[in-house]
Amino acid sequence: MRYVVAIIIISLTFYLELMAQQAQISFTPKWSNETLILGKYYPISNSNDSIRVDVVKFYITNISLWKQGNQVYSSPVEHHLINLETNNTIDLKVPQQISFDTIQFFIGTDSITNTLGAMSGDLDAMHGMYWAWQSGYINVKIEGASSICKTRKNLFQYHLGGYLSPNQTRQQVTFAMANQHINIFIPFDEILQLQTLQNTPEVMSPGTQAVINIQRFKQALKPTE
Amino acid sequence: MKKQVLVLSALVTIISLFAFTAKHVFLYPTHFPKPVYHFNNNTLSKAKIELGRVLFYDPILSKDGSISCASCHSSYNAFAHTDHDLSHGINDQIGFRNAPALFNLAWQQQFMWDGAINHLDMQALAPIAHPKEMGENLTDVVTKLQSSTLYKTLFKNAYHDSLVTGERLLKAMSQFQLTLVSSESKYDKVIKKQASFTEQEQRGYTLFKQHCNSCHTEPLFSNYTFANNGLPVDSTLNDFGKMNITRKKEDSLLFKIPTLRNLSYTFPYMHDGRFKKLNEVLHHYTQGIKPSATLAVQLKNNINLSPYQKTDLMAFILTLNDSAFVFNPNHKYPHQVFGATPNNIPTNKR
Repeated sequence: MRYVVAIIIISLTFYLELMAQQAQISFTPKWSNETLILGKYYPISNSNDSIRVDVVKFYITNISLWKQGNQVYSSPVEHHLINLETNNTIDLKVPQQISFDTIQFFIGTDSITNTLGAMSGDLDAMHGMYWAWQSGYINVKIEGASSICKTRKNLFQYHLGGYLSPNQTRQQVTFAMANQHINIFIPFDEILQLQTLQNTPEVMSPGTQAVINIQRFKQALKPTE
Repeated sequence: MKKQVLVLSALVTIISLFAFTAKHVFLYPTHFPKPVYHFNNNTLSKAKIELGRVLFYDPILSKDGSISCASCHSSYNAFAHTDHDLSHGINDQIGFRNAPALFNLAWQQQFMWDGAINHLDMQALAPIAHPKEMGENLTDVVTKLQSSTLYKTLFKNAYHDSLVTGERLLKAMSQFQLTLVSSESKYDKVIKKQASFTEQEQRGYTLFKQHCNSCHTEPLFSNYTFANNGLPVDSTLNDFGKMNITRKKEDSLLFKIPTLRNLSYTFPYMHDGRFKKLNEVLHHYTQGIKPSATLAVQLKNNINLSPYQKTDLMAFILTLNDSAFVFNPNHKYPHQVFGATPNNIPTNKR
């Protein structure tokens, strides 16, 4: 009797596994036309300065798939931490029969998650994406150095977060997605503009600068298939 | 088949019995309101509370292994720090604020004098990461604990496997701190009709209700909101309280209203520890209020108290001392785990 139940459960899981299609979102950092490598120096156009990006981490949350304006799938895993040093892809198990034309997700954590206390998995504060001196997640973290930055060791640090009105930083993103895979370019030459690096090389608290910078990050994203 | 059912039900009974005995029930008196902490997300257990207590007393949380939470939050001072107006941390650095007393935290939603922290679980991150307090970060603390045999055992006892995560560490620390309930003062006994006030204490209680209760609301003796209590700004600190966090000018000079429980154990007073004695505090409220745009409405009109009334009020305030809490052995340094004093144990030997 027990064996029969076990066999049924195993085959059912296997069947569902077969029925699922793998959808994948990946992120590729770019500097101009090159794929950006963390820690490598790149020349900044129209200047004699150079730049190096060391850390890129951000939250992608509440991913959903849409067909002709109707939501057909939403990911059961709500929060994904992308760390370009170690992992740049998110795999989704989407039921086979579902077809879609659009993907929607958020950059950053929702405001309720910011008030729930200690969380596990990708939301664990040990990943360095939670502020210590003030409550709230860092939704996007970009760190590096450039001779343009008049800071100690020429470092720039963008810790972009904030969940309270009027400085909420969570951004909604919608891209067309017809295939199983979408690769999203992150053009850092557009995000880290000359003026920004000069004037505000350090943004490490919620506020208007955090909002401006995270919006620029969002707007720079370019989907390719 | 019958036998299998019997064995299964016996197993379930044993497991649930074990779970029941290991659970810790959060107790508080009937005259207290409902706690605001969500215990459903962090069910108390004896092993987790014990893990939290060991972490609280262990300087392993600081960068150089010299400062523990208890360095500035001593059980004998109702988990405040007497003698120091401002907190002190690694390398003998002096911080910006007076270390507050820690108790009745399950009834508090916002933490720190400026309300920067929105949840008890996340509070510990602030002193751990502050360069003038513990100067460490959670990622490195987790790495240190992962290589400690002591913590492997304690985490296994608490979470059934020895994996150390930030979430587990923070929640265990919350658990220990949640058990710091102060509710055995003379005032509490009077409310429970187990004691009665002297005439002087009763007169003081009447004055308290008239002049203090709107902010220092009984039975917790704080409504745990934020207010400007008319302290002139200390130009050596330029601390504007809640405005430092919210950047709103209406929050200028607003600080968290502290409880009036256990004041005999928790001197000095105020966010910057400027008053050493309760007399100075009463003098401030009667003669020292500095008017400003955000001053609490309750303090806009002078509070007039005669010397006799001040003595009466003080007599009542002393009934809020809770020696049973301050000397509760369950809250003290865990000798059975560390043996000697924590500073004598090299962290790499554990």
